[in-house]
Amino acid sequence: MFREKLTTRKNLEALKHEIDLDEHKLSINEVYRRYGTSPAMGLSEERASVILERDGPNDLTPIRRTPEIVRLAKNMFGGFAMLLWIGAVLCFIAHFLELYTLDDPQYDNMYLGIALASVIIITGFFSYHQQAKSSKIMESFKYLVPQQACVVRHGKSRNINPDKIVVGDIVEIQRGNRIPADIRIIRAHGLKVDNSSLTGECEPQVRGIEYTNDDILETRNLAFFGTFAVEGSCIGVVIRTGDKTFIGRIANLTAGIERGHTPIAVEITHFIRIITIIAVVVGVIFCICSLFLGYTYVEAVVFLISIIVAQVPEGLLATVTVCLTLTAQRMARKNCLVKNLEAIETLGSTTVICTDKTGTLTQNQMTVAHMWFDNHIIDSDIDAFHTQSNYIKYSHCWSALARCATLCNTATFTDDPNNLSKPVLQRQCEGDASEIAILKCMEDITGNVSNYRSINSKVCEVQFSSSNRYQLSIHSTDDNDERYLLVMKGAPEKIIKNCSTIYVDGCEIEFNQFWKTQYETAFKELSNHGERVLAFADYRLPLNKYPRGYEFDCDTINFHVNPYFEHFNFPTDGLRFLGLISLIDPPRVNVAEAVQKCRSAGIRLLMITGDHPLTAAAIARYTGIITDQDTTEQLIENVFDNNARSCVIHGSTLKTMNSIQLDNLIKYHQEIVFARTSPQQKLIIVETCQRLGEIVAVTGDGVNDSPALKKADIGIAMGITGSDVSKQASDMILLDDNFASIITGIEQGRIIFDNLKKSICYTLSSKIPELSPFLLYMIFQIPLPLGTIAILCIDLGTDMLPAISLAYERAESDIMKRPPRDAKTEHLATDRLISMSYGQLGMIQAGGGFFVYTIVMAENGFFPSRLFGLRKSWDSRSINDLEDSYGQEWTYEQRKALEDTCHTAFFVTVVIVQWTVLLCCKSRRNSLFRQGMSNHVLNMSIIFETLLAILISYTPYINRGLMMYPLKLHWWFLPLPFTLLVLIYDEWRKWIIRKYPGSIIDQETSY
Amino acid sequence: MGGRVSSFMNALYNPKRKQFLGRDGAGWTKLGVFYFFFYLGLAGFFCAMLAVFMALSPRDRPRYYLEESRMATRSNPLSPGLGFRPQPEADKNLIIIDKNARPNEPNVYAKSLDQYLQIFYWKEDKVEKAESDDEDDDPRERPVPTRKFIINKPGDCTNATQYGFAKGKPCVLVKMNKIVGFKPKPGAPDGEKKSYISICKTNSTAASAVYVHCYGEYPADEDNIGNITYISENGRDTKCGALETSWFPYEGKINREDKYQAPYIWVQFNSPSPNILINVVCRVYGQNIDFDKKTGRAITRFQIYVKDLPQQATSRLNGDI
Repeated sequence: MFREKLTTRKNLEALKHEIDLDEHKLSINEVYRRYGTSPAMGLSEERASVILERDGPNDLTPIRRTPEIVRLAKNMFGGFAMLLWIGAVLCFIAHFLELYTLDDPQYDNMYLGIALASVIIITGFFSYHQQAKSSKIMESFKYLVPQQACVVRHGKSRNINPDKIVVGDIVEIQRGNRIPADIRIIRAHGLKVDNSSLTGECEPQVRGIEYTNDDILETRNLAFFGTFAVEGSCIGVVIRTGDKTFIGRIANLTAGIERGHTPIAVEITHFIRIITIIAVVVGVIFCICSLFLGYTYVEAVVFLISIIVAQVPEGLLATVTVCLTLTAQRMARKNCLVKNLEAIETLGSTTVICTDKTGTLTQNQMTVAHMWFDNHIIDSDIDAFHTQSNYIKYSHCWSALARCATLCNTATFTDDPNNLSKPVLQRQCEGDASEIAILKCMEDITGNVSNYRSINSKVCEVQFSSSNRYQLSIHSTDDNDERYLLVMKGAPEKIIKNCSTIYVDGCEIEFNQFWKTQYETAFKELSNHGERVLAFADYRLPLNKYPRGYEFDCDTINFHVNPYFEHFNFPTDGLRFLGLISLIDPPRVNVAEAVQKCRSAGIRLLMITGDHPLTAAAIARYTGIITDQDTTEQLIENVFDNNARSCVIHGSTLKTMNSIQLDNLIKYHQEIVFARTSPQQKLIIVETCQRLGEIVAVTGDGVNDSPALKKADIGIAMGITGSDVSKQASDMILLDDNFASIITGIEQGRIIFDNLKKSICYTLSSKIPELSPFLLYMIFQIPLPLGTIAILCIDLGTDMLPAISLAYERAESDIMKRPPRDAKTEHLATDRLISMSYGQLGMIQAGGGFFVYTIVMAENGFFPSRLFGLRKSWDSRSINDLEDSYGQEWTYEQRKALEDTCHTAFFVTVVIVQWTVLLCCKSRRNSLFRQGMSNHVLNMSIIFETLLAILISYTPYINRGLMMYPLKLHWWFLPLPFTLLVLIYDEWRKWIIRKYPGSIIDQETSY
Repeated sequence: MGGRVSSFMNALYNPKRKQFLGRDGAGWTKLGVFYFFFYLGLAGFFCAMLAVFMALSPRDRPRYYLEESRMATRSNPLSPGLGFRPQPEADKNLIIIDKNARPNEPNVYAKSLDQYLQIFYWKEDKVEKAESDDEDDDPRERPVPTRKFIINKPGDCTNATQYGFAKGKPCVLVKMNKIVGFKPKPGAPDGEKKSYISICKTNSTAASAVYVHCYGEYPADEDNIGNITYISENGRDTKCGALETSWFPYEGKINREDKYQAPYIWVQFNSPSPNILINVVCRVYGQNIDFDKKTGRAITRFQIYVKDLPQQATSRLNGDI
């Protein structure tokens, strides 16, 4: 395993480079020679097994799963937990010191140590369980492997397990199969592969035997492991298997990437550092004090440890974990599945989102966008259509175009009554993506397509092929016209050559220069929208030449070896031009709005796609990622103009840039679209952003996105269309594939950051009333006002729920209208937060606690004056007759009962003063009256903590166990002046902050 | 690593911006001023609250006493403990008797007893006339007039013999804790009547006192403890010491001053075994006095150690005498 890791490291840089593959350039015979195979015979079984031995099985090395025990250990010993462990160990050290040096050792330090250890272990298991739960959801996305693959061995084709495939094997692939390895195609028949998981292009790509492009993803004669053959069939020779395949390399690259700490982890480290410094400084100061006061060295060390440990926020680890978990659950309900708890906050501090286009911003479904006929461009959005329906109803040209589009189309709805009863847009279809789009559009507008097709029966058809780039069919029509109708559809430049007339406003007129210009304008406009334009034409075949029953010879071309065959026994030119239909993979409904929200939240959006620059730019414009009105050409030129706001950059340009140019590109352009990018380039873009100090979120669904997903501060994968590899690499999964869900995530991330701040402020505020009793006990030698067990009751009992309930607090202002926090200056725990929490809220609480302590003591006979210096006698078992201020004498047992009563009263006081501390922590600037009391969890938590305090104080056995005693009723009311003081002080403070921003109060107390 | 240390030092003190812990001098001053006033206000509030309370609190007896106070809890009935003197050190209950010390050598234990008696029993033997000073006081609520407690025949237990320490027959003062309003009932708790009668049978008829009995805590201590003489207010006894109930109850202070003198007995150990630590437990019997050895109800506990030099040294010293 170690060796493997080492090699991965070494190869990581190599993997970042593009795949080195030249088989597509070689002649097919050279390929055979290279792999020692032949198309007819294939490999021999023996040779295959030798190669299998050499190369290993043809499957991806599974992503090394972190062993469960390591994951558990990470939860047990990471960041915060480590602080608590140190605390626990110190406790045990202090305990043993006491045990061996003091005659009458207290067990407090041991209890504290045990409590700390249990908190860590319980919280560790809890977050481990949470992780395990989300990874269980992950397992439901099972990796799809082809069950069988058909290979030729020894001249016989046979089905074998795909992991047995080796290089040189001849494989046969049928429609619907997953390509079992990277292959060079030998023979193809109408093959189309779905490369979307590799490139993000949603349309199936035509594949054949021709070498068409230097780029391996673009050339026709290669098909890749893990992609689907959606149409046609082929035979190919295997050139790469397993981890050496294109996908395998990406998967390995992904697995090799290691990521830095999440922002929240950085914040927690920062927080721990602050807490530790304060704890050690306070501890050392009082340790030195204690030496001056005449304590022994051992006692001083025990004090030092006790003081340090007393400042460890025991409950905070659990609070943070639960707060994050609650947010994760809330997000899961809004279709964001969070795999890694810490990632929630990352989304809130994200400054740049690198988004994939296909499937994230767009629906990954071709749809008819516009039509051009009668010299008008018509928006084919259904609603727009209905408003224009009258116009359409009476347009001859429209009916001709619609007839042509309906008939010259081989896509069909899946014949299943259940499917047919669905709304048109949701029906399952068979056929090419653009044909399906047209079919759906026609079905929606004109109605029953299949019926129309059956009454206008097809006589003959020429299938679309990548070489002829058109498709035609001949029909007998039902409109009482005896003549056959030839309909044709295809690439505009191809169709236009075959047309001599154009049909406008019901008149067939000559297709002259004017109309050609008109057509050119329309075509340009549509393609500038990034749309794919198809042209339609028809022709009535003269009845005299082509009477009913005429034998049209279409088979010749359909099965002809030469795809450029053009000699039919019917005319294919002199057609009547009908119009254009343009198609696009449209943006999702809410995306534009979501992009707008991102922008107002100060987040930059970069689009990174494998798609064509024109299409990418068009979608970027639709969704508002690019707000510049310049033409796409201009945008592409903007790349080197640092003053331009937006630019579109092609992958090939990107390849030539060095890192400084890249930095400048990203620094100076606000809106960037990266088109035709490779997975490696995606990774480089993310790295560049991170180098510039940005916190980067990456969305993506394809395998090609996964290295970037892994590298990003937060990777967001798509739940429905996302590939397994991308889901593994990501931290968060959008279950509905909707970009708009990210907004929810950002919002929640920001809220949780604010609320964690509040939680920390609240939790820390009870540290002073917990620590100060011990300090006064040490310095003024008073009987201990608050014991360790009571401290634990506060930290792990009454304080927990209120601190957690702050996670439910709504945002104070519109957090989506402010820029993301600056990770360098805006911290989770600042010195001002500590100062506020320790120095102010905490001190008021401590004041309340000592007040109640004094009164409980005095009402039982010990006046404050008597308490000073009493510690030694008070704690001495040898004294059974300690005199109080009224001359009464107390036995050891009686004194300790009184002391425990004081602990109880102090504890209750902290609980009661924490009521208003909690209310104060609800908002950082707003008045409580403005913030409102609508957080019912918080309201309940106040009631709960009070009930818990009552329970602890009054329940028999429980109170004995926790060394608590029932309190007199009026002692419960003693803290109220301090409770009110907190509220009044804090409202005053916030009022000053709002009224005089920048004043000393604002500077020193706003956290 | 070096970078981390230097960055830490930089956080501690940044010489470039003259910042200590991220704040410059002006920053710290501002903070100091803010907190000065804040704590001044808080301390004022605290003191005001406390002053109000102290003004309201009763003067001579606590607001809560007897079962109302924390002396009694649900699991622990109200029951006085006992106290012993001398106890020169707060955290020790060991009494060392050095048999070979010279008689007029100052003895810490005798000094401790002297002090104790001086503090609590110096007052005049007369009825307090303090009522006249304070017209508001209701005479019916006045405590029992203070009397001077005197043991008539203290025997060895006087300052003259260093309370028996010089003779190796130490007297230990044993008293019952003062509890406001508590009046012990003579007798013994239910279920212990029999053992009580067998222990203190000589005094079983006298119903005007509660009795104190001392014994070795463990069998070995019983063997070593030797004879004990109890010197009470009205006589000497070898079984038990008596605390007359007429001294009770304690009624608190009078005008914030201690006037009350609590009864006590002398427990004189006549022949404690030398050079061995003896654990002594003294227990008081009373019908309403609950006994629990573990928590110290109705008892006090101390240790006696009689230091006697080895034989030859002793004889040499004896020769000197």
